[in-house]
Amino acid sequence: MSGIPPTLQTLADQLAKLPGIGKKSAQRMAIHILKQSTDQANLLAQAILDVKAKLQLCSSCFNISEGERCAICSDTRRDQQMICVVEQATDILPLEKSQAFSGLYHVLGGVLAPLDRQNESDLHIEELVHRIRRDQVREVIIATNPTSEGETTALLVAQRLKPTGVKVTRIARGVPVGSELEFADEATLTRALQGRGEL
Amino acid sequence: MPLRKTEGIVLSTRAFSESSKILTLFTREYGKVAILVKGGRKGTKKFPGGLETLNCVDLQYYHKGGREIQNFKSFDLVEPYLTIRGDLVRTYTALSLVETVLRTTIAEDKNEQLFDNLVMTLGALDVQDQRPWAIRWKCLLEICGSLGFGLQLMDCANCSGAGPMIGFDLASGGFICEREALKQNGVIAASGEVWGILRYLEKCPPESAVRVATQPRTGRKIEQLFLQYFRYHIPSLNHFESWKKLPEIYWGEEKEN
Repeated sequence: MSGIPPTLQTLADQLAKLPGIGKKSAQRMAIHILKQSTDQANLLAQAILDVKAKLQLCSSCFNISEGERCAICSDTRRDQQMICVVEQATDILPLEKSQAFSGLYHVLGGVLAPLDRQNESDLHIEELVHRIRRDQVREVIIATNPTSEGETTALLVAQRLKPTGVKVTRIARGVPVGSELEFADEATLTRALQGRGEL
Repeated sequence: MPLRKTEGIVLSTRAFSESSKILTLFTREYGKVAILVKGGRKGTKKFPGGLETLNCVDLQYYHKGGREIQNFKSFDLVEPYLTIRGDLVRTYTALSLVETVLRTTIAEDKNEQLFDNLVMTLGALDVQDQRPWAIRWKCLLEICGSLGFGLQLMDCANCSGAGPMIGFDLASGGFICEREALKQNGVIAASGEVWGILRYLEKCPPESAVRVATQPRTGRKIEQLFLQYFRYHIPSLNHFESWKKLPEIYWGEEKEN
């Protein structure tokens, strides 16, 4: 009825399932792909297929990996006794971009959110405990988001790591760089003052 | 579109599209409302980070009748309950109460008594560092009352006798003393100790709830009683996810004997 050929509509429908893509954007993208050369379209299709066929979760840290172990875990120049715990594999990217951390990561695979039926058993906490004992880890930095769920998860991880005796730290929370105190809320300022550092 | 201003407790948040989120709040003036906060997942000047579960906020939003989700305008943080957030047991307790309100109330059904009870309970959890289960039970008793199925804790629900109590009748919400009644449908075993604790909690001020001492076995019975009672009155409640872990968190894993 819309005048769009069914094949094009199917492609637009599939693209519209991607996060942040609405129906109109999906139609524009589908038409753009149609206008591209066959080689370009094949490259796109192959890239999508490869993502599914070649990528897996790292057997050690649960990051996205091309092989059994990810590039970060395989890099012997990194500090093997320092682990940064994050919620999702996508959280590793900004941390790596900052170049402020040279240890290893551990991806929990989510947060503790009982209201959304996400419980401890859904997270890779047991594997973290095993890793710490096996690799004699010196310090674990918990870098879950400073949201309600992220904070609860941080508390739980810290509790579960207590018997291992490893040093557990939490990333600082406070006023973002470039922002103004005037606009910071009470909770943020309290946390900023609690986590103040000596100059 | 009229602008509404009210105080509210954030019951839940969920991500929506790339950077927005949908909040569900229980407000003093308008009951449970869902609000779309465009860009709410970004840490910007406009959304500095107070729109999190458990926070008490002064909220302004645009209301349009017939809409399930309203549009956010602004907020001021009233109370972030930071001490609760620093303690796993208290966080679980607070989340369990927030989930109870989330699942047992309907949209835009004003209930000021329930709102005040929730605020008072979160305040008590924030300052009291012991026996959070007693604060929780006190709050659950109040929730039952404000939802219209309060427990009858005076005398035996069947014969008006003074006890000793041996069972709890889900239909009447009262304790019973006759042994024969235990054979009836909808009657569960509940000791005089359980009755005594709930009776005390019903009457005591919130700050005195933590005086209740209980054995793990009795604590588990009370948790079970509340769960069955809520499910009896709200059959659609087939799960209370945040309730599941509580007995283990409070009293450790149950030992079989």
